[in-house]
Amino acid sequence: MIVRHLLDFQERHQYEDVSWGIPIPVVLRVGLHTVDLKVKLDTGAQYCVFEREVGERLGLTIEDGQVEQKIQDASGNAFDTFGHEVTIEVLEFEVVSTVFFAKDPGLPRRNVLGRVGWLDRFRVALIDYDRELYLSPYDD
Amino acid sequence: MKWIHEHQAEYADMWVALEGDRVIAASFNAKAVFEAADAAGVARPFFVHMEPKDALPFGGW
Repeated sequence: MIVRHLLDFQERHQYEDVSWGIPIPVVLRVGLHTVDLKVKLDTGAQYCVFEREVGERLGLTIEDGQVEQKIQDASGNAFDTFGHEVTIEVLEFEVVSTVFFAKDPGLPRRNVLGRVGWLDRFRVALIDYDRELYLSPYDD
Repeated sequence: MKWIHEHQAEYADMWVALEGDRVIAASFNAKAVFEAADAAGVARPFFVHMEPKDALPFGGW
């Protein structure tokens, strides 16, 4: 017997068909500083990780982050990051989370939204065949 | 927005600042792109770091 599971979501987003994953528009905000970015939604990434230059654009001094964290990239290479609290806006939904900015410029090669601090705050559904993402806050 | 898909090869590995589908600035240097977007006076530019041209298929993070 097949048990059907029904979910409903507040937002639907049609994402672009690109080779490198599922791109979603993100607004990062710290105080009056704002950056609009297209990043990769990565369910395999433990954290939300961005390049150093993105943090600097937000007015942050990267090394002043409250948490220092080594993160491993897809090739198995580790790089240093610093955690900062930022507001993440995706499809009208805002959360305040600690995200990580690389210590060294040019790393990582992809800016990603991962599980801790973003995916764990939402209910997300994907229909990749149609390039559709559905999103609601977890407590909606 | 199909801009990324359509311009991947042209701007491979570069940071690009966009206003809609209009390119404001593009460079391998993120800071240069941020500064160029500011200089252009665009209120809310949109930034994307394009994938390198020779990137292999991604096997998971």
